[in-house]
Amino acid sequence: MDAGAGRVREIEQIYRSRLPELWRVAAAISGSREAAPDLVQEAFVRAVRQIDSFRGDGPLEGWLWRIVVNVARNGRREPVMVALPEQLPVAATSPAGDSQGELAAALSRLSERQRLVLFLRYYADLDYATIAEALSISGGTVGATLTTARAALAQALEVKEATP
Amino acid sequence: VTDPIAEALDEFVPAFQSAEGDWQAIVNAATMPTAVVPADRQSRHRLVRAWHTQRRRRPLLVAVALLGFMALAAAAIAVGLGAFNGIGAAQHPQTSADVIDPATAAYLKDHLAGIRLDTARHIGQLPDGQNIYVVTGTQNDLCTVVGPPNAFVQCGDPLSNSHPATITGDYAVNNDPSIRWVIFGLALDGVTSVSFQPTQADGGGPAGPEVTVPVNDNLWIYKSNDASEVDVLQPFTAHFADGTTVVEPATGKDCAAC
Repeated sequence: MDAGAGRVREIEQIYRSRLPELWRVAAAISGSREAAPDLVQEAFVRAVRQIDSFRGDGPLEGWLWRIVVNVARNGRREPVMVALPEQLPVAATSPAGDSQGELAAALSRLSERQRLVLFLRYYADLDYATIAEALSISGGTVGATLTTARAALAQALEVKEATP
Repeated sequence: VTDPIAEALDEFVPAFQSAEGDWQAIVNAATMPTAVVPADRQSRHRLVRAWHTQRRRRPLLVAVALLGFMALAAAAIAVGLGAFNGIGAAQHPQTSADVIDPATAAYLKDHLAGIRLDTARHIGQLPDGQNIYVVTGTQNDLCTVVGPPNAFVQCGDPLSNSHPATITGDYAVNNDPSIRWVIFGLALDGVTSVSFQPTQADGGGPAGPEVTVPVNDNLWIYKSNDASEVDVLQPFTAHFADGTTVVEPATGKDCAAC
């Protein structure tokens, strides 16, 4: 009981200190800034309810991020190949030279794992171990996935930069 | 040195400049039973909409007069409310034990204006001592109310031979080390048990073998000590005393057929 209460306090600390990043990642995955607060709220309700299922094999924060990612994925808007921020144009209808549209298109060509690694790394500034725990993959896979994803995005941006 | 990828991503989903959460709401929700049947949530929304529509159409004086009339009518109601048909545990004159506590009643009034609290009938208790009531709505909905301390309501169509049981809610138990999760629902008179496949929430797979849960006084209550949150994999089956069974159609969440 005390261990559970202690972990709930840890969850509260993470919630209070990381809320802007939590919302941002949820917005990136779900494609909706408006929905992000509710998704994070729902994820933390689940976390508190299921705290006994956290076995302590990895960092608690990684376990929390896993729940946030899963809830945000379930809350993703359909039908889109990649969830786009609602205020941004869909890649296929973006005007030529729209860097945001090209980035969206490049993201849509990545695998889901690559996108999630990018979002967790850049929007939440998570270390490899926490990302690994969040996505249930190894730390080495996180590094390799990030490198591949960055290369794909760099190529897309270079194409854009080369266009007059 | 700048990182163009980081900059592009930064523009793609701009940072939230301020984020104000509500931790207490999380704690409250985590200990509150949760509705599990989307169809019934739709019904609940219908109930609220109906009340709002009525409110717009009727002048205040007429509404006051109607409220007075309804109060008198409600006082006269003892048995035979349509929404309670087939729920023997609710077929009794209203007594003090049927009156919903003020805190739960206030919650219900705030969240579900069309509910008729004066029709409440107490039909049982959950393992942690919370009371279970059935209540009608303005459109003859059958509502199940739980409380105190964690007020909860779920409304849907009345029970019938073709809809003999409900999955009303599930919640985490915090005061009993032998029980982690409780799932409960209503059943029509004559239904002796319900059977279903427990499953881990969020599609985590089966949580043990299929179970058959007895019905007592129109209530079935399934208790699990599984570490992970448990749900009911729908559809589920109601078993009548005469040996017949009715499969309750899947309603969405954890639905094997949809």
